[in-house]
Amino acid sequence: MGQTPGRDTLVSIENVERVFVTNTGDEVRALAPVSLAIHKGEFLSLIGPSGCGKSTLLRILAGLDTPTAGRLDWAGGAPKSGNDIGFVFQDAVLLPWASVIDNVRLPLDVFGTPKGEATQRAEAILRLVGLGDFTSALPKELSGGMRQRAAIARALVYNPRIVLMDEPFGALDLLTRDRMNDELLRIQQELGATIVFVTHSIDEAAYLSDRVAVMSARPGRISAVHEIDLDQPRGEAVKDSPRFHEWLSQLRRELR
Amino acid sequence: MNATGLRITLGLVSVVGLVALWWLYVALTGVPPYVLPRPEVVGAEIVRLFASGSIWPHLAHTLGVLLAGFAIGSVAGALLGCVLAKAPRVERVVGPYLFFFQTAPKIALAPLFILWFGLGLASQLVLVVSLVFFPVMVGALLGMHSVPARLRDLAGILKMTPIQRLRLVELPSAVPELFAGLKVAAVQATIGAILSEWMSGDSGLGYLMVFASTTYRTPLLFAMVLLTALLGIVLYQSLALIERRLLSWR
Repeated sequence: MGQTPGRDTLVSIENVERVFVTNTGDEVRALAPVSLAIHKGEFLSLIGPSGCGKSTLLRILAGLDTPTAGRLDWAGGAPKSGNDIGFVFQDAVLLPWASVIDNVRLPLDVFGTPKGEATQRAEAILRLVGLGDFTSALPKELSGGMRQRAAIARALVYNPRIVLMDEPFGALDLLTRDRMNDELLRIQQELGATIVFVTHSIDEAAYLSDRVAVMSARPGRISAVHEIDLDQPRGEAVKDSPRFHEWLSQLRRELR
Repeated sequence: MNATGLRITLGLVSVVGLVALWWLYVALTGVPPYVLPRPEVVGAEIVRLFASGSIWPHLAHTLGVLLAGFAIGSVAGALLGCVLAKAPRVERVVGPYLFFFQTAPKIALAPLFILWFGLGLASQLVLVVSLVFFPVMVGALLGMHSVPARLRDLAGILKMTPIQRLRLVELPSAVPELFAGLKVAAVQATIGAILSEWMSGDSGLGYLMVFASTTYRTPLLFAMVLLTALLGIVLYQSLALIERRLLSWR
């Protein structure tokens, strides 16, 4: 997926600003006016120190929070129904009383998809994320990585226009995290999904992304956007390439 | 011996031991039977009550008041708990009154209920309902508030309707707190049913207790105490069983 400038924009964030009022009446600017275009089919990472507003920006994209000023301009109109946006949290946030397949088909049940079709689609996506043999397991019976796979399957099962991920692998150990990164790239390529990925890991951002937006704190703003010109598809070899390490040091410098 | 077998054996040992202590105490101290009858006399009284069939109308009456009051009180309490959880403004307006009635000792209100609703079934039901209502309401309210913030976000992202939120997320999350309330309510309901029969009416286990104590029929009194305790335990354990079924995912 080589990036070409000017490709189709899915949503453009225009001068979005978010001011929180604290209990004591003070105003805290979580986001200074931020502008950014998100392209169809791209993998875009937001990195930055804690408190830089990356999660706030993601919640605004998800419609969970509203900007104090500015607007989102969606190609083809603002999301109206629940199946426009997929969201993956840092924790899996599965219903603990429901089996893996019931968790994954939850969105389809909410949208009123016919039962048989919902089951088929949930089974297919579970096979894609490698949970084909665990459809009837309860969340507590799965490892952290497997739970997160189920959460990703739940966000992808209805083919949302955009998948928003808020540090989805932040709670996993490094080995699992590496494996999940490769799985995520494979799944994204298979489905052609647009992904906005919040992380504080520079390695993860550089390895996964077509573009990386670097954010800085107080007030949160985007200080740079980079096209990551590494070989596609990404793989272990990329991690050994000098270009990858150049990106790591540049991003690390910009985060200081 | 497996775990279940051991549990049953230990339970039997404990019951037999208690009856033996009781019997020994009566035999050694020579306490008069109208103060503490021997266990076999109480046992014979229970057998007589069931064999002659004279217990059934009383048992049915108490059970009826208990179950009807419990059902009405829990449904009403659960409904109001859900409404309050969904409408924080309503909670702020009616909350203080609810708090007052919740802490007011309902037992002390019992004479008032008799004044208002008469000596019959109505005031008995009102007392049981008033005892059941608050613990269930508080349980439902706490349960609905216990939904994790991220699950609420998920419901928001999927744009669930209020009914879908309730059915798919909030009610299942509320089960533990709701059942904690229901179990407290079950104990309260048993107390309420017996107490209401002490004060008014002419049937029920509570009525038989008053009758037995005023006529010095102590074996009958003991039989009633055992039966009401058993009633409370059965109700509580049935709830615990349903709870275990519903929370088997834990």
